[in-house]
Amino acid sequence: MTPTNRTYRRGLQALALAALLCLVVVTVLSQVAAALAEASERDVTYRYFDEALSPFQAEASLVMWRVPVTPLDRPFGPAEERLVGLALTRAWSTHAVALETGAPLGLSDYFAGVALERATLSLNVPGARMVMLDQTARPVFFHADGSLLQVETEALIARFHLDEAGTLDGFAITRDTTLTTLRNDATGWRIISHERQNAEDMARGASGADVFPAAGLNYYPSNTSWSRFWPEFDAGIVAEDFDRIVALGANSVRVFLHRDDFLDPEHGPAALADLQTLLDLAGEAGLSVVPTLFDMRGGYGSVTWANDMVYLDSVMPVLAASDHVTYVDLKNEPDLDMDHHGVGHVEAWARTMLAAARGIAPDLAYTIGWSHPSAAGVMADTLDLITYHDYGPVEDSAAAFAAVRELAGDRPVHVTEIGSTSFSLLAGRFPSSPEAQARRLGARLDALAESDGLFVWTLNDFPDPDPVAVGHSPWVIGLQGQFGLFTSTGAPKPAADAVARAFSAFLSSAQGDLQ
Amino acid sequence: MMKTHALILSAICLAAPAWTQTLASDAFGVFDAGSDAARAEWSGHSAPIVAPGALAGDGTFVSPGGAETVLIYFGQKSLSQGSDTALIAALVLDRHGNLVADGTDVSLVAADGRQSASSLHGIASRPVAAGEALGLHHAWAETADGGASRQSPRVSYRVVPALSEQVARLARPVGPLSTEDVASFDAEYAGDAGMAEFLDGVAAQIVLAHRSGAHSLVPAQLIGGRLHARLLTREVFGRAEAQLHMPFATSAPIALDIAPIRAGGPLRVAAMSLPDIVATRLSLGAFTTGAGHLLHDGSHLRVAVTDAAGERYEAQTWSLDGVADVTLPSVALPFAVEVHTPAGRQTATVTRTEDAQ
Repeated sequence: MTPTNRTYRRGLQALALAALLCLVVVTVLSQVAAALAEASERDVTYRYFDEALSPFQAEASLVMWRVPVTPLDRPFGPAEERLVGLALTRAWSTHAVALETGAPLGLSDYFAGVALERATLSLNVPGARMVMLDQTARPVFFHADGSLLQVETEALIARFHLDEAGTLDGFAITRDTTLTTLRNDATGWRIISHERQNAEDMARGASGADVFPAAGLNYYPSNTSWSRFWPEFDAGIVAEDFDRIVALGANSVRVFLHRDDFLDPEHGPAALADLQTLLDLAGEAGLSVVPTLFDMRGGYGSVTWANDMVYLDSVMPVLAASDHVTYVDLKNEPDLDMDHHGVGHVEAWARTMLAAARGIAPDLAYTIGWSHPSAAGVMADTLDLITYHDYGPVEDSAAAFAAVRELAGDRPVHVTEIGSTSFSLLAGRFPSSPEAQARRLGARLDALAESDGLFVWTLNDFPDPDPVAVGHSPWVIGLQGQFGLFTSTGAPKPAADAVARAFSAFLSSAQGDLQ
Repeated sequence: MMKTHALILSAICLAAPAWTQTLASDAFGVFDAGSDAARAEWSGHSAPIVAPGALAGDGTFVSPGGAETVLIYFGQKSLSQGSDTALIAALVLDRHGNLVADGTDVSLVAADGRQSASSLHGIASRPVAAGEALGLHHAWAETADGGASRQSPRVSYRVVPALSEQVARLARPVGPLSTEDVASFDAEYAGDAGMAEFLDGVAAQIVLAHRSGAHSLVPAQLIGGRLHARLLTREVFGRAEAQLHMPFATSAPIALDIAPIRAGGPLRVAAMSLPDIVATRLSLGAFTTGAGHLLHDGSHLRVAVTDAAGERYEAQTWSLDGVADVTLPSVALPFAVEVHTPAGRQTATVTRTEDAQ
């Protein structure tokens, strides 16, 4: 090598190092800025629901009314249904919040007399929680002067207990029959007595539904990822992408149903119709669908669980009626929320939603998409199949899978997210490249060939990844934007071919096993 | 050896509470059934809470005890005499605050008597008839369930005359109603003697039908047994028939007279010469009434003037601020001026003019 060549090479290396240093500095600065912004947000405490919640949420009564069986001394009409329904909804939301905080703030707004005493005493049990999910009420007594009301209520209620470490050590979900007496005070209706007459256990075990081997893709269109998908749903683009998935030799697609898109009073109906369209398109393409619920759900506060029920009541019937749903993924990576929201609290939420979903669609199979194989044991007692994601070192994949296989017993194990970026910043090689992506994916697929299901993240590159999902760091945006098997212009990357070969071998082997 | 066993036993006993917490669920959440004896007395269904995935045991139902507290809800608090009804409801609780068992016998007492009712979901109720006895009454509830008698606080309610019984007779005023004055009206109760009286706050209306075909409406109210109705007798005069309209009845008509207004002084006329147009401007007024008020703006005036040449001129005009102007196409003084106003006919003679400015 001539001195000139050597100098030239050293110059290039120096340039590359300088560029890398600049990138690191920019990344660090942007992340520091984001952290500062987050730290400057203040917690705000509200005294009344209509100050804290949006007008839609604040005015929502979650009580369904039934016609009285015996004549009442006073008519109970739509105006009373609305006022009493709001009072009942807010009373139990306030109670749930009081149990979480340990402070009786607001209880006296909705409880009085014996009921207030009992609601206050119930806060003295550390770790005790109770969440009212839905209520159906029937008036049984209404005083002629409107001062006293008694209702029989059927309610779906989750009760659970967290030990000192925040672990869930007690859980029950029941449909209770209760008798609630309310008094019409100057400040509104208040509960003065509340007694449980009966309770039916609503926890259900696995459905036993068959889950077939799956080779699939996690899916968003290239230009409408995450929070843009449902508001900007385009059936034509979805159909084209599904054809591309089928051309890879896949038989499944994993999609994400963002809770707020389906709860929105204005756009929810359209989202529901688009969900039906997506299921139909999948069926036409010959794909089975794994819908992932509650994606991008913010927070696990008890006061929001009733809205989760509204979401389930909306989407589950559509999923249950479809022939193209292979199983339901209740939540994407809830283990990542456990540090912030509490291990036991997140698990209690998941068990509650699982029981509620099974109550609506008992014949479907259910799982939870854990972010890491180490979390796969959580709730393993009640899931139809075990699913997890694997972005760890490829050399650890086989051993991690073996451990999950052992705890799953005879239930299927699907790895519902594996992936590798092709993002390249320097010299077409750092931190990755299309060729490196293909190699890593191929190695991962080989390591997990013994599984019962494999899903690749993701079909398409995202030229503009949703910052709501990936944040604002240019580095992360760069990485997350290029996990696709196809570029944003639709050109296949080398990884597409690697995945197609692996899927063919996987499904052939799986079909051989079935025979 | 014994000492070792005692130590081990002590350690087990001390550690026991840590792993014998028996969680249970009730209407208000989760509690430790092993240590919360008071909460275990709350009636209703409770069930064990077990670890996720474990089999839960059967629940238990705690029944309420005997009656300890009786709460009363009575409404409406004001009943119309006769067929009106209220509802008396007793909410009965045991000593732990639980609703008593269905079928608990409760006596419900009001002015219409004592009647028993069986509780359902802790409530016993019955309608209360207003009856015929006017005035303040009391009601309460009591039960002897559980041994000792338990009584609710006492509530008061009132039976008032029925609105349909409100009948009145307008009293005829003595003499004519004075003009430009506030006249009051009197009425006396005309219903069944000894059965009812005027109900405070009843609204009514007096309607006057004037001979001219016009009508006057006078809002009225019965307060403290008296009729309160005030009529400003201005612009209405002469004979009229008055009737008092109550919510369910109208009184017989009575005739009354309202005195007309009178002129408050002689007719005053000022004349101003207008030589350029060979005319005279007459300024009439101020027109006042006997009570010292100016005629209302817009009061109709008929003016007739006869000049020295015997020519007669007539005009119609109206007053503003109590005065009116007319322009006479004559300068032949003296003028004999005649004016008809709502206060009657007045005359004056003009013998000289003031020069035009």
